[in-house]
Amino acid sequence: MNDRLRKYRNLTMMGIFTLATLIALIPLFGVLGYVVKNGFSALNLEFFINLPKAMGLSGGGMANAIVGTLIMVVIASIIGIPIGILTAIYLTEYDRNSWFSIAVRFATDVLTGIPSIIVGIVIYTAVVLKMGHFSALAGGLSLAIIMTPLIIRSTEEMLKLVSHSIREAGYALGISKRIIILRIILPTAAKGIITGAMLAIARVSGETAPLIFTALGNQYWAHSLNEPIAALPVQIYQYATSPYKEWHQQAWAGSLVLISMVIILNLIARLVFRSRSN
Amino acid sequence: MRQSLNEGQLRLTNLLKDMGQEVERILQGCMQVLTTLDRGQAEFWIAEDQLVNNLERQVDDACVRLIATQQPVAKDLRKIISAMKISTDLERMADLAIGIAKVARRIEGPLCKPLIDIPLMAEKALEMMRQGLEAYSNEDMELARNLAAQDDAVDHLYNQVVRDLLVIMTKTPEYLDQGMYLTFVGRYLERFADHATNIGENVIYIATAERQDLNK
Amino acid sequence: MGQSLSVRHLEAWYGSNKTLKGINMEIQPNQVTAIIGPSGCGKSTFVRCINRMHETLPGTKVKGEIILDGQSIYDQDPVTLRKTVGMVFQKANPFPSMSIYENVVAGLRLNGMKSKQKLQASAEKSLRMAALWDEVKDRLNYSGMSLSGGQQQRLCIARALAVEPSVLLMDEPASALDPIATTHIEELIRQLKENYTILIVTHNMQQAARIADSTAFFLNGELVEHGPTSEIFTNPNDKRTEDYITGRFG
Repeated sequence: MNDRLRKYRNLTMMGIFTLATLIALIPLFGVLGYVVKNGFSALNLEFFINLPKAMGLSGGGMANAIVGTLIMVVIASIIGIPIGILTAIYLTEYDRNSWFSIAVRFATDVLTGIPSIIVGIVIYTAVVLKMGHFSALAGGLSLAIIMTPLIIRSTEEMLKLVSHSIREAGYALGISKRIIILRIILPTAAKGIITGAMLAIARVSGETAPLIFTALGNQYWAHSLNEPIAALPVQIYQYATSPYKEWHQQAWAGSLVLISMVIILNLIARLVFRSRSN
Repeated sequence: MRQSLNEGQLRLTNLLKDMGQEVERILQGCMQVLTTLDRGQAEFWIAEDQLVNNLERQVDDACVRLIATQQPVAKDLRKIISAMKISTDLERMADLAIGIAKVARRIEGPLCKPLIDIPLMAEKALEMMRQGLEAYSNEDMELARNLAAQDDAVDHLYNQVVRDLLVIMTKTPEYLDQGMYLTFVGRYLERFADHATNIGENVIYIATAERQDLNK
Repeated sequence: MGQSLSVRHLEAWYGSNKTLKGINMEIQPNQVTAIIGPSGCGKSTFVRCINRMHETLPGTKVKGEIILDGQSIYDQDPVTLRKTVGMVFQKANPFPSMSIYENVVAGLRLNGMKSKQKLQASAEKSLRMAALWDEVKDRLNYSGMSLSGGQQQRLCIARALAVEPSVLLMDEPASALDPIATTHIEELIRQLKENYTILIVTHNMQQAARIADSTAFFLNGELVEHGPTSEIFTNPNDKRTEDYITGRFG
């Protein structure tokens, strides 16, 4: 009798877990489905090549927004990835236990949770107002601030995963600390670090709020980094909140492109993580 | 593999071979004394057992050390334990040989009869010892088993010697003491051969882990 | 080629815990010296003091003298010292990001040696010494992690030998290996001692008895007894030693 009761209880629990999982998946597939359905029809070659056209006209594109996003993500990466990795190396290899490193870790954790709109407002005050205009640089900078803590955290985790015995083996061979870090530990943790970086890039490419305050957006091509520049999420926001049907369609298309970027980056990150071991 | 153990065992075998050579030298010397009846020679050989005793101690020490440091098991262990036992047999054989010199010291010459069977016994017994040690070194079971038949031959010779001496002692009573001493010599050589047979028994034990009695 | 070691009044702390309470020991060159003792007796700490690895852990302190071939090891830069005193660890730790070849020459290449000829020659020589050359000569480009446990440990030994140390410290090198792999390593150590001074920490007393020329027994951070292996295992001087090796401990 006990056996049957136990079996039923097990099945019931399994049923509950499965149901919860399915419910959790609904938003994901729902969102994807909607975006694909609505965005696919608006997607064509002109979307990728053309600049936005005035309301009411068809055939416009988001070429400048796509390029703008890419440019600012690159700026953010150039700033955020080196600083993030070097900080993580410092925290793992040079200073694991002092008050300073505890404070740095705490600050990093807090920063990962800061609402991105606050980052935007801060950069607006500190950079945009000082410079007197919106710019791609300011946009890239705000994205960097969001990206860096993410990279510090993920890199630190990957470095900690490198077994301490590897470090000891390096010391025992009479190799100096900096070479152990550069040529043994980093290569060992490399794929994990790259994965973390790609996920951070994916996350940051979708940020909208900070860019509204820093890059502003641009209907045309920006000719220097010191000008306002278009970005996909911002453009989507502006089009989606407009009253024009053509622009709504473009917003869906833009959403599809943005989500595809994120998904592709995620996939590549996973492939990198799984490969690189022969 | 197990280089240290192999080297240790080789050292043991060589020590036993050295002991065998010593025993052979002593027995041949003592048999010589039996022919010459030279008192001085007898005294010399009676004191000649130092090297054999020293070698026996070396074998014992080497065995203990090998067991402690190499943890031999199975056949390796049996071979080493047997080396300890064989060294005891060899030491006893040296004692027996020296016993012959002690007896010869007491004999007043000339001898009542030319010695034929007794030297033959000595020859056979020595050959048995040589074969026993070779069987140990090569782990040759056939050679070891063969010692049983040779021991029978030596026993047969001994019986012959005793009969012959009895006849002489009854017929010529002035040779009573000589007859008695020569009987002792025969007895020593018969026991010498028994110890050599023990070597063979140990070889069989090494190969089969069974104890067989070759002495009948 | 091996060098002699002189240890005088060596004391070591791990935090507030005194793990070595004044060790005095002479280690002969070109011999295998085994260090035995129960868990926590300080044998690993002792060995790690000799190549100054103990200091790399936070909260550690060392006092005393260790003289290697006439010079105190504390007068040298630890990085340089570790090229003379090599170490093999309990769990084989080949570098995961490197191939077999790169692993073997890591100590040379990462310290600046560029000549490919010299590196390849050194790799072959070291792998031969570690009795691994024949098994891996056709797959030197494969990852170091593609080898079995025993092979990985021999790879680590080859890697340590490539740097041409004169002293080799081994911290329970065979404890993670099966009996056959262990026998391989033991034979290897026997051959190596012709050219190196070898110090091996082992909790396996029978192993110490088999391969060591001299054995040292540590207990609670002290050196209880140190002498020729055959004497220690047939007639030790100290009762504590006898209790330990006969298994009648506490």
